[in-house]
Amino acid sequence: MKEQFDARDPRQFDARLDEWFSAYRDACPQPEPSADFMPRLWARIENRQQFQTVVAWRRWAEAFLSLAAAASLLIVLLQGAPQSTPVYYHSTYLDQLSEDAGPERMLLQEVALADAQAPMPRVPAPEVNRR
Amino acid sequence: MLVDVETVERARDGDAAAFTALVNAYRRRVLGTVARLIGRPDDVEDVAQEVFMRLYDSLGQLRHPQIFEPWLYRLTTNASLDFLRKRKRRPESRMSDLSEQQVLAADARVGTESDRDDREKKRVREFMNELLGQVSEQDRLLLILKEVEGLSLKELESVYDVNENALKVRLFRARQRVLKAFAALREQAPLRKGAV
Repeated sequence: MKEQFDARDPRQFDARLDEWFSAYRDACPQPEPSADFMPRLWARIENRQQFQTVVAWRRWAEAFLSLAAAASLLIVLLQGAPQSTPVYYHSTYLDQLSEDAGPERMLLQEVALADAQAPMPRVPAPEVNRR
Repeated sequence: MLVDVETVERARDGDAAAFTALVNAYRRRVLGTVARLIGRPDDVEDVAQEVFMRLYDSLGQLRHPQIFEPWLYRLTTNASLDFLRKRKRRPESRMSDLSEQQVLAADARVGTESDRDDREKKRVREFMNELLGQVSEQDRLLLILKEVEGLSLKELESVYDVNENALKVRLFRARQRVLKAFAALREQAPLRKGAV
């Protein structure tokens, strides 16, 4: 790597760069995995899985809580909303029945009154056979 | 491939023994790639483990076991990039601050050929880390995958999910930026330029 070259010439530089990369490849040490590489890897994978399970449960719980809160809010809103005045009966059932029969009774009374005031039709007397 | 397709399929279907076999087959290669990509020896094993954890999580999505190796390279590249983004730091190893005269003097004092070889390798690593540290992480990773890991353009297509022409353009531009970085380094450290 001590040889001079003209870096302004792209061809020379390309060739030199290839040499440097080749030398770099040979110069880089090959790291060896530690003895506990696999056990540590499995432990990390299991930890992550447990964590993901907890996170998933937490999300479910949060979603459930949100739904429950929304439903509660909806119920409260419905309770507070103005409603139409309910029909309450203060009288007894029998009173109500008699009230309901009022118009019919009046009609009957009117008919009876009219009948009373109207002149009675003259019905010819039956002829008696005097023979 | 270092393992057969059946092993990949069994691992994909949740077979723990097959997954262990996969990791055992590829862990040295992944460690080597991660070491070259992140340049931080202390963190290499952690990042490699992250690669295999991602592999475990995503293996079910691998439709064609034949492309397992590019898939693994993609995971390795992404995990290394994520690590570098988190750290926001360049590789620790840097070009020695010694002047060329000092290096030559030190070389002369080296006793054995093995020592000389180790020293030369160290200098190469430091120089290349310094040079590649001047370009973006994307350029550095692409160049390392192509020129150091020896991935073909076809394999890089699978890793980067772009076509060959786009990759050629990216590689060309990355090399251009390395050239610029080299020129800048030479200007900054004229004393060292004789060393390269």
